[in-house]
Amino acid sequence: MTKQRHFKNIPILVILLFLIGLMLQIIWQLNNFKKNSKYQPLPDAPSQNILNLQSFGDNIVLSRLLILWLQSHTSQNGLYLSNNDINYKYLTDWLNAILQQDSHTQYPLFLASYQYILVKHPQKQRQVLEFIHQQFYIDPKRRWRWLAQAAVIAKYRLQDLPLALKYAEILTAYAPIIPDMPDWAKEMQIFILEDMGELAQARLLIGGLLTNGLITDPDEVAFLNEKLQALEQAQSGLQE
Amino acid sequence: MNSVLKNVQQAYVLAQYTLIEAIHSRFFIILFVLIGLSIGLELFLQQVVLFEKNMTQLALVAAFLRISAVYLMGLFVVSSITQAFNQNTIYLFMALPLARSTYILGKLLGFSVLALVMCGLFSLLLLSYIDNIQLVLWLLSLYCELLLVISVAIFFSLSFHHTLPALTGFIGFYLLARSIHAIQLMSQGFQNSSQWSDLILYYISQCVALLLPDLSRFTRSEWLIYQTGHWEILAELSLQSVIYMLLIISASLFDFYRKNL
Repeated sequence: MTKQRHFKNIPILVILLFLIGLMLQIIWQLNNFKKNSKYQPLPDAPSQNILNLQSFGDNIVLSRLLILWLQSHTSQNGLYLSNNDINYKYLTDWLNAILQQDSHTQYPLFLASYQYILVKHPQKQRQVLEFIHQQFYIDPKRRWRWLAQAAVIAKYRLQDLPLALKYAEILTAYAPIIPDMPDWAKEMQIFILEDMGELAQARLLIGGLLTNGLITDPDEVAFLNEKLQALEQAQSGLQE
Repeated sequence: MNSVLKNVQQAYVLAQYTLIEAIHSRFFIILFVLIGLSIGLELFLQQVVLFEKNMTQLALVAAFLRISAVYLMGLFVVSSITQAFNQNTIYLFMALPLARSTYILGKLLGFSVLALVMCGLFSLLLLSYIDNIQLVLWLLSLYCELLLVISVAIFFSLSFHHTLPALTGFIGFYLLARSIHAIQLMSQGFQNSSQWSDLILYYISQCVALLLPDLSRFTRSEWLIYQTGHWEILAELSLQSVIYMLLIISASLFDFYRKNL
């Protein structure tokens, strides 16, 4: 490489112009930053055709980029927003679109269950739970744990025991086709029924789980037998 | 037999010159800068990603390396060949007892070696995430994709002689070849339309698809993160690469032999 000439060979005017240009650019950007510091709402999700075209044939990469973009939507230009500001209809459409691009990923369901559920708006919470519920049917073997999480949220966060029971019932119904579903998920229904005071139904369910061979672990069987006895005692106590 | 051996020797020398040219044009410096950027991306994602961290990092870093490889290889091929025309060094080669086909094959060999080095360096980076057969499939597929990129860039450079139109043609080809499957799927809806404009669009997309390799099937991220790749797919892609290289290199030779240099 040829050696460069000394700085003193540069005319002062050129240096001044460079410094003025640099200063103006920084001022311009700072001004723009302040001007743009307002919330940009979430747009409607595009169709799958548009997303397929934008992915240039690599849907997995597009889905990962979109999920990171969606995840960071609540922090824009130095503003940190609450989930309450988000339109949840559009949000669930985006999550659905991302899952359609990459049906193997669990990331959108994770965000729905752990980030977007943290909204102080029961209607929006229910929208998220309904989204998880619908997604479960698409791939029950991989998405059952999110429905179990939805049942827990419905029970403790929304205090909506019938909704929690509905999700727990679905889990128990699908248990035979989901080999890796743990026993606690199959048994969720029992505890929700107990909380609802439906002791007779809880007993019936335990009997069903023990007889149809869904629970095979000896410790778990012993636990359920104990639970059955406790429920019987509680029920007879109530009747007396 | 002797003439074949002589042609091979000449092609080998030209390939060596291409490698020297790559060193002089800072090819390897840019390659290492791109690898550095991918490490930066990896560290950034480490902080940002909340779930499926490894998978997301792997998918995005691999996609960055893929696009970097195509960008660097395509740009280098276009600049190398158009420079030969602009600086008139092509006339020097043509004045030598050198067949035009040997010139193209020598260049192709040199670029192919560069692509191989690039894939080797990328494999070292990706080994920190994945060390199974899927990485081998992904790298071999990337190599096939780069061979296609090289052949197409040679074709456009020989046809247009100037960097701007050659690069535009190359980028247009690459983006179209990666989207053609999605375009074809979108145009399926027009197949039974009663409007002639829809039918024209449908037939144009079908014809274009016949002339392009479907690059969306190459170098899939899902092989790396969901382990879905297998040797049959790679064999299919390799065969497609050989067929398309045969087509595009023969088209380049056809054009090159007709040039009055």
